[in-house]
Amino acid sequence: MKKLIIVMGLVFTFFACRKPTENTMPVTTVTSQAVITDFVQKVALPQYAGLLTNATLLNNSLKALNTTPNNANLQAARDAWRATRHSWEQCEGFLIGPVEDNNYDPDMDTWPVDYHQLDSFITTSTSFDVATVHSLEQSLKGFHPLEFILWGRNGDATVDSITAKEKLYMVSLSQDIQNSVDSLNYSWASNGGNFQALLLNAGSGSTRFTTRQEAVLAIAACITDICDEVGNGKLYEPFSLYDSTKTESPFSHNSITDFTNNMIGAQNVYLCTYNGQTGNSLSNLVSAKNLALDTKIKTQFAAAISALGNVTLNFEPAIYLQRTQLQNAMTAITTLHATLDGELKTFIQTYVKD
Amino acid sequence: MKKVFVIGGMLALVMCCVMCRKADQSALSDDSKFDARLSGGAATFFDISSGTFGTPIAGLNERDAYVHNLGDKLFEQSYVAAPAPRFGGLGPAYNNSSCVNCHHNDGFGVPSFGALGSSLLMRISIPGTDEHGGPAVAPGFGGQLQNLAIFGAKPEVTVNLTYTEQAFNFPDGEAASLRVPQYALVSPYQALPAGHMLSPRLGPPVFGLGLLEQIPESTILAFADPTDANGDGIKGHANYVYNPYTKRTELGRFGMKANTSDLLVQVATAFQQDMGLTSYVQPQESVHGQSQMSVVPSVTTTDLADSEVNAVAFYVRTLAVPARRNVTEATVLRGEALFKQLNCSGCHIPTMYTGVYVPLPTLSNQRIHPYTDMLLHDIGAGLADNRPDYLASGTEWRTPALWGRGLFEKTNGKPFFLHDGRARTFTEAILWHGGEGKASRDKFTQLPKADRAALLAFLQSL
Repeated sequence: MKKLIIVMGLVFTFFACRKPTENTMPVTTVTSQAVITDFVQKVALPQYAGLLTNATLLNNSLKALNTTPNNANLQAARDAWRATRHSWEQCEGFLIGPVEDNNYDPDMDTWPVDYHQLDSFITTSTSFDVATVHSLEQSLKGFHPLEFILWGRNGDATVDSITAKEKLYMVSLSQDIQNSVDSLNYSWASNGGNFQALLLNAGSGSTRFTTRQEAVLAIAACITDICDEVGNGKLYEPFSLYDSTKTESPFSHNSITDFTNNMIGAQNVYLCTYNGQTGNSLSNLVSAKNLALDTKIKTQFAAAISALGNVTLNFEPAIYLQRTQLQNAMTAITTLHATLDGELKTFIQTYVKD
Repeated sequence: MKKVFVIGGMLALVMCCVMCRKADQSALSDDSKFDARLSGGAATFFDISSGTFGTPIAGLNERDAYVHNLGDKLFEQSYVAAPAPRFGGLGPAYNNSSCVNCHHNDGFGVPSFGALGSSLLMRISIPGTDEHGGPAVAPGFGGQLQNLAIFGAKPEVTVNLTYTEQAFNFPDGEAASLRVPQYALVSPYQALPAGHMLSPRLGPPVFGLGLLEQIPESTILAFADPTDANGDGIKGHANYVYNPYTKRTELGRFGMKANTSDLLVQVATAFQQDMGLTSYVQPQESVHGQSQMSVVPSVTTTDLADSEVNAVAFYVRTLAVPARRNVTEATVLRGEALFKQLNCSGCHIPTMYTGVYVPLPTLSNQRIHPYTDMLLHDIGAGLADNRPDYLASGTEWRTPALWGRGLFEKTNGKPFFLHDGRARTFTEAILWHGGEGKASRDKFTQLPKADRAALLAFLQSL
């Protein structure tokens, strides 16, 4: 009898141990479909719409500068350029689909500027209409030739130093950017190229993403890739070569802001947030099963953005004068990259099974 | 009598050993003993994304990985006109300003001319051969038409491409439409030579080339059947081409007509002809001897440093092959069986081994599934360019590798197939086959719809 009581006691103990464990198991409430849907509807589409608004304002500001060249309009054009860059660099947090397939990125954002050819073009060309500008090489169109003229090669451009031809060129450059962004929006629109359907129907008829896991991995790859590009490319190359001629936005000294916006764009994708709207995110997906990993990624995003904030000089002098801060920023970004490329990818491969 | 038993026993032993050996050999050709997903052997990767074709092979040491990444950056670099502080030397006449503009995501490009993302170029020659047996260059134009130019120079020509649709109906009523391309050369900077011959080319994918480079010449020659001795209607012969760097005649492996023998020359010639960038391998400007040469700044150095050309050649040599997907699905297996039954595999040979290559073990002695025999085949009048290239006649093309073909939509948005990108689907590509491929193509059209779908599912799994 005594033995029986001991055995029963042991059995109860095991059951008692087991039950609480079951009860505290986290319950997944976020589906991969919800993450994909909200990425499209809360992040990608609204950000591209925002980019189009800014690109239109940029074009209007250059038209105003062309018709009424004064200091206020030059400043307005420069501000509009920075605002459009702000949107675009955040959109670079998700280089997926048409922006990649149809070369929108290099068409709008190739650097460094080919200023010898740019001078030749401005001197010799008789036409500066949009069609002519559209047919130019990538290094002669997009944001950076515009930046080159707006600020000048040595940052010394004034309303008076910008020639009439250059103003016409800038109007068409900004119109070409606006056209590209317009096409980009159209390629996602349900009444246009409908790329969004390829994502939304992942795993249920999409020819591009045959499973939802593929789509979620593709979204995660976007944020991984931009971290790689910023940490190991945009920052590392000029830094390692001590070469300030290889920076992204050297005339406006906007490079560090560009990089910060890249990281914020990637963070927006991870958290599924933009412009006050939030949705079911990769972060929700991860935290439901692995809270530590989610916290790690969030912390590393914050660390990367804050490390870039510690670079107080413009990027060009910082290459020579703030090497510690730049090294810290690169380390923070590449650490984040390693987490995204390793643990996040493995997590998705393990837990997204549809 | 005892001796007889002893001798008999020894004979039996020998026979057993021989039988053992045979069984062992057949094991190597028994696909069921291997993982069907490993298209590139150890140089296969499983991570499928839009940038999938840009994945390096596994096992690169730190130095090799550095060179690979350097080549990757140069592959993406936009080049500009000289003089420039860096990346100068573009043109004066050229087809595109960066490698990646034509080889989008390391895959195919867009079949159009003259725009930034355009990946078509046009080869040109006149009747006859040069001193090495290659195509005779067109005076004033060289061997390739550069349809863009820097300011101060003129494009050699503008190429206009139009398509007419040609309807095709399968016996069971399913309809398809084939695009027939027409090319018009307008506004040449000087008169085009009489009797010139043209050949359009779409920038091909650049992954897996390191493996193709390592297939032993003896293996490739063993596939050849120039007299159709086995009577299956498929011949196949090798191209032998001049290597401008080694100054030797070598087996042609790369290019749509196998007119280039190795990756270094392939890369250096693309830099020279497509972008106007000179190197130690191809030191002459593409406009050499033309009136446009006056635009080139008179500098004594080449445009590209030796290490830059080497890095890009190393980059393409070390790009891995994507793994196959869905290899155990019944439809895919059915399609694979049909691929062999229809003798598509007569030219698109599934399995072979690379040779021993000590510098990169991942490429060395690998069992690979490129679905090519690396040989030239007459593929009919429909696809003919009627422009001979060394031993390749005007109707012959080198069998293209099929690995990775099922991923083109993922990497490029829209897939395009064949040498000029005219085919938009696998079905169209198959229907274009004539000549030595006609028998297989005809059998494909006779298949029940479900079997055609199975064959396409197999191709999609590559």
